[in-house]
Amino acid sequence: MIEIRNVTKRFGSLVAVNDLSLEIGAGEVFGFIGPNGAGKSTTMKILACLLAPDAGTAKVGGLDVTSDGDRIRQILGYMPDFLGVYDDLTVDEYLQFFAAAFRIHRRKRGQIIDSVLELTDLVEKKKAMVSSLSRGMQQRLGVARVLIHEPKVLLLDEPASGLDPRARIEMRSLLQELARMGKSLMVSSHILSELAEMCTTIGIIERGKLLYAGSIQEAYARTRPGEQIEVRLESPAAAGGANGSDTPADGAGDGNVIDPDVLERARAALEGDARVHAVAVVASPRAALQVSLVPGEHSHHFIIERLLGAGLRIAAFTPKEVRLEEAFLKLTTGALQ
Amino acid sequence: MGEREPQGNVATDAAGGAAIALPPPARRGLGEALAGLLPHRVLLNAVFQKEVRVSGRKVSTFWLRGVYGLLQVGLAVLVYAANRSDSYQGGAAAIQSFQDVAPAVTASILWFQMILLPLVSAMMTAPTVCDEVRGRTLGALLTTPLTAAQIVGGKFAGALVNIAILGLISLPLLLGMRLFGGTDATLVLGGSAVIITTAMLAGAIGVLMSVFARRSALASSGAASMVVGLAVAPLLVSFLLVSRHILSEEEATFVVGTMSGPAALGITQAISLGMPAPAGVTPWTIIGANVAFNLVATGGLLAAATLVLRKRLTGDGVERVLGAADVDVRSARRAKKAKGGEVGALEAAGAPAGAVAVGAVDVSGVGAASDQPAVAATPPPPPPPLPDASIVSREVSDRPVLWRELRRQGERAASRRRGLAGASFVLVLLAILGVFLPLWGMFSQLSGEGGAAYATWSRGGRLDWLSIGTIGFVLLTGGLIAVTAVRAIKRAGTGQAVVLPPRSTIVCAALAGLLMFLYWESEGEFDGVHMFVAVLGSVIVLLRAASQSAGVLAEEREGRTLETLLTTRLSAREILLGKLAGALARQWDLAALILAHFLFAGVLLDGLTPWVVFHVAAALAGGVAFLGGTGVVFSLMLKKGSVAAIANTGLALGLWLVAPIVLLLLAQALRADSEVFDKFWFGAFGTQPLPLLVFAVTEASNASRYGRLEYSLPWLEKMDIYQFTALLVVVSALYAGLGMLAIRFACARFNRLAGRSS
Repeated sequence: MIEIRNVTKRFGSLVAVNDLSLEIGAGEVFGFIGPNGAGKSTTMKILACLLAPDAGTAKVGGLDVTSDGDRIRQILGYMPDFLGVYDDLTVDEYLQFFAAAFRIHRRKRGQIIDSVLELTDLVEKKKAMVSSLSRGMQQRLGVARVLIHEPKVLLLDEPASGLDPRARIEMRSLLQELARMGKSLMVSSHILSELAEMCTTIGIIERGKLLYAGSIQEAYARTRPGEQIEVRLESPAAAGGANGSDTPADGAGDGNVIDPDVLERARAALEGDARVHAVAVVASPRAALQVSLVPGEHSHHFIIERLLGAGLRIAAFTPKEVRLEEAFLKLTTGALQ
Repeated sequence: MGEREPQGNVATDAAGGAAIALPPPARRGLGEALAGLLPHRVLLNAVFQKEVRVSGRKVSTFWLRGVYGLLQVGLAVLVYAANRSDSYQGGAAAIQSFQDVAPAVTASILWFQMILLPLVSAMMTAPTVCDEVRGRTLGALLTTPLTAAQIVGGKFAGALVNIAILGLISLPLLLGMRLFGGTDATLVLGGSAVIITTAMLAGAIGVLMSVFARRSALASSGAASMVVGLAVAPLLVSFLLVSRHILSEEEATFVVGTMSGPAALGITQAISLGMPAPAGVTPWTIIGANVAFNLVATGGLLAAATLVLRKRLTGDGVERVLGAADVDVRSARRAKKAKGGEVGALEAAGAPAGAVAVGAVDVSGVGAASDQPAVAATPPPPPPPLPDASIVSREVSDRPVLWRELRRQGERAASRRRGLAGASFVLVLLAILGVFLPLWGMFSQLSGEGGAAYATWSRGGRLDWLSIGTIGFVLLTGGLIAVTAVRAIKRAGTGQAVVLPPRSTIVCAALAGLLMFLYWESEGEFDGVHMFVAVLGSVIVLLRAASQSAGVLAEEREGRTLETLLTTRLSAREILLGKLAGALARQWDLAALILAHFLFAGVLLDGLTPWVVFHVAAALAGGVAFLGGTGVVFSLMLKKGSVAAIANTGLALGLWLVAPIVLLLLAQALRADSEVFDKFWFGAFGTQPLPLLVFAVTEASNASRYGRLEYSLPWLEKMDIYQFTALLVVVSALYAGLGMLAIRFACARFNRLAGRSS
């Protein structure tokens, strides 16, 4: 649905977008991530026919942004990062205004407006002045506005920016609903965890360069050579205590040190396996083994089997989660140095 | 290096570790409050420094200075060339020649400054506070210890630096004239003082308008109009006072010289040229009085701007200053009233009741669909706020841009409709009185008894119906404003929206009242009134058209709505023409007033040819269409509305004021014979809507007196009504055509200039 090929955009000496190539399929929810000034908004403006690229081609629905502006505007909805609204209109008039601007017939406008207001949960505010809406409501009104002409592609630049937690949750639900409706979404945000929950694919951009584009899982895989699993073991003494006393069962004894014998046995049990890359000790917050696996898909039960086979008892077994923030930081930090 | 002692209280934490410096308790004594008003604190503060630095970085600042200086030098050279004598030969003779020419060159420089500097000054300061509000930076300023006076003072002083530099550009030329040409020192020094202080006063007007207006283009146009009005109004007031025998001519000269910069310069120049001065009037008394008036008025206007800004910062104005989306006091008050005062501002502004009030995150409703648990229980939501009955949603037409512009004009305040309805009623009443009362009087006189009664009642005068009309008008207008004001006061008490009558209605009502007074005072001699209305009214109409059309896209840019508009399917033509038509439609009131004057007072009362109404309409239409078109182009090319407004006004002044003068000076410099000079003269004035309008009115007035309607322009003499009308139509059509060309250019370049890639 969106196809960008080697697009470059300069503002004087500043290269805002540098040889960027990207594809977003129909029905895909694409999260566009990058620090401030990375080129996200510029890319979106190019797609919305608000900026002409200096080099390369950008297409929306197979239509070129530099020559098919009017047809692109029929299938595309764009919500800028800073949403200006006509605060001297009512919500109904505001949406009617844009319905007229998209040449929607008068007879159909009322029905469409009612449906987008329902979708954005603004039905009660239909007759209110736009200026009386809260920031979150104005953002939702912005979404209602981009839906008025039933576009297939939505470009939402920081839709949750500046919203309070409640409004962010509402916005996220709304975007998920739009994704369920089969629209292609390109959403930029700094709230990465929200993108992780919502997006099927992400793109990471820094200083105009696209560092990564693909699935979130792949981004995780790229940012770490293999999975990591944290294992806390019980020491023999603690294990005895655990059988009959209230002493905490902990292979680390006082919680900060692992019994050398336990450590040795665990290493011996795991390091012989080809799937294990390394076994290390982590001290924080409590001493535990950190088992790093070699890249690839591995089930975790072999670790449990090997440790139990070595006569060790497992107090906790935690596959370590990779957060999108970490992936983002790893992919962007120093990538362009 | 010793460590700096922390100021104020010092708090130490429980562990005795980190010391936190706390500010001293806020206790402002009278001395400190007065110290805050010291000139250097009010004027030369952080705001001043920021303004000076920002303007120093702008390329446009240096362009303005360069163009301003070049124009001045060019004018001086042209005047010199036009006035030098060829009879002098040799070095001493050349100096003698220079001395002959010096007064004319000095006068040209001084008048150039007197006309342009106050206008530039007003338009420079007009956007200052508007831009802060639009950019939402005033909120940040408010978090600093700066007072409203310091913000206003800093803004004014920052602009004053640029004004002073523009004023000083002429200093070398003027000193040269003084040293080598022997020009009167009083004229050079006194004239410069009058010009600089008049520019300061204009700057203060700009700041005041900036505090009032929402948009910078609007503030600029308002400030420019006020500067023109301030220059002309004292003349009118004095004329009225003299005609009422309240002031003598000598006193009137002093009053005019005191209150009007151009008048002070004119009087000083006239005296320095040897013309007889009224008794007790010397150049320095006029200069001193004018400078003192300008300075006092500047201070007064700045104080007023400070008070208004302070009021806005502490009351309902917070909504306007910080942005409607941030704090909606108005809707909060409405909701509070609707719910018996139990609801907070945030709730009324859109947040569900209880969600914020209990300090918890409420994830009911849409949020409940997510997996996030509610942090705290919230009370059951109250019923939704009652809808405001005064808000009516209307159906949008298929031309949404034009619809919005026109709707904004008609719907911004209900009082506007009432105002316009009232004004229309007054005009209809005047028409009825104007047409039927004399007929009734005539009929009554014929019928004997009634005629005697009428003659007694009306004292038999021709203008007595005007007395009735004036009284009726004053009563109706005053009543209209009073009713609106009472409603506003009532609403203010109940927390409802305060709807004041729109400024344009008040201005039109005031102008109409002024007209009625002029009719009264003219005692049947309407020539002066016609000319006054034609010239001043047209100048204001054209100035407003120049500045308002230049703001059409700037408004969208400033409101950050342009991008949204560009992503719709609206074409460049629909956007630009819709905005322009709306901007021009907003100022129909003054044009209608001018036409109404010529229709009622001119044609019906004074017996002018009905063609004069068409002439006035055609001349105004041509000028407005031209400036509308060029304004749209400037609006596209220049990002800031105020800069676009200055550019378009500059174009109008350059084309219709500077160019004719230059053309005539050129003819003089080329030693053109009388036939060629006539052609130059015709080129200078015969191709312009405003001078043609003046001709039309003058000749129509003459014809009503002497019975022969003939239009004689240099080079084109003895035109009949049809020829003159054809000339006026051609000239107007030419300007309208140029305006259309400008709009076509704007449409063709719209995508590139506005930001669309296709």
